[in-house]
Amino acid sequence: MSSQGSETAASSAGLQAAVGLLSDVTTDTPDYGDAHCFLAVVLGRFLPTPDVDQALDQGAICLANDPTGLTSQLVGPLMDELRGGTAVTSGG
Amino acid sequence: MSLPPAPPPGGDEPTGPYAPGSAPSGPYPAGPYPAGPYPAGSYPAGSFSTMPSAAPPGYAAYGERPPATTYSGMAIAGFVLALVGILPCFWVWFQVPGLLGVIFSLIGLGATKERMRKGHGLAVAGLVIGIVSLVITVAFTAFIYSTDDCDTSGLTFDCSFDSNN
Repeated sequence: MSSQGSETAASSAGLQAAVGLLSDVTTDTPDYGDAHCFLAVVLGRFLPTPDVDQALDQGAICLANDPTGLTSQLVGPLMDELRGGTAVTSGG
Repeated sequence: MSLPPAPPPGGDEPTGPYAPGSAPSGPYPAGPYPAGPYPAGSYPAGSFSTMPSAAPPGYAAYGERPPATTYSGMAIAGFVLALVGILPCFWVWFQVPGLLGVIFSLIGLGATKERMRKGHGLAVAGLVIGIVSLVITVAFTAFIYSTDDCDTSGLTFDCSFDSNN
């Protein structure tokens, strides 16, 4: 049980570090569209409690930067889900 | 000599499981069959199965593995860290999250191998993305430090390629 707890803590710390680094990239290079796209997907899908407002903001910036077809297919449906209030939570 | 029992009132309509009103579907016309005592649509979808189950609802039968319901946190963290790692894959110090993504994805791969937890695909994707970003970074860094056209100082570099050569 303790190993599972430490695993959960490590994964949570790793996820937070990744989100922080992605936020730094979007702040340092605001015209780098892929970073906004990835951050939107992470905030909307992979957090235990999705940050809907931030994900929508980052998704809007991502789509405004004219992403590639694959990325827009990734972010577009996510934006629709978040606007509809049906965000997919990943759980533990 | 005794007489057979008199038929029940109502004629010779059969009773039992093949009564006209109980035909579920098939090539029979929708006739004026009387409605059954149970209202249609009063049962939730999926509450019936054609095969009887030895286990009560909500529990896996003996010998079956219960379905995974939660994602592996390691798989998710590994995938997201690998995503961070591939963004600016030419920044050497930025490969720390890429390397962490590979490690987390490997742990997540083990946690989801037996399908005890969801996220096997995420772990595989994180592993592939992390390895690809690491390979690209190593190749790019080796090129930067081996060519004379780039001035390297610490972890930064400045390249000026001459197009005439």
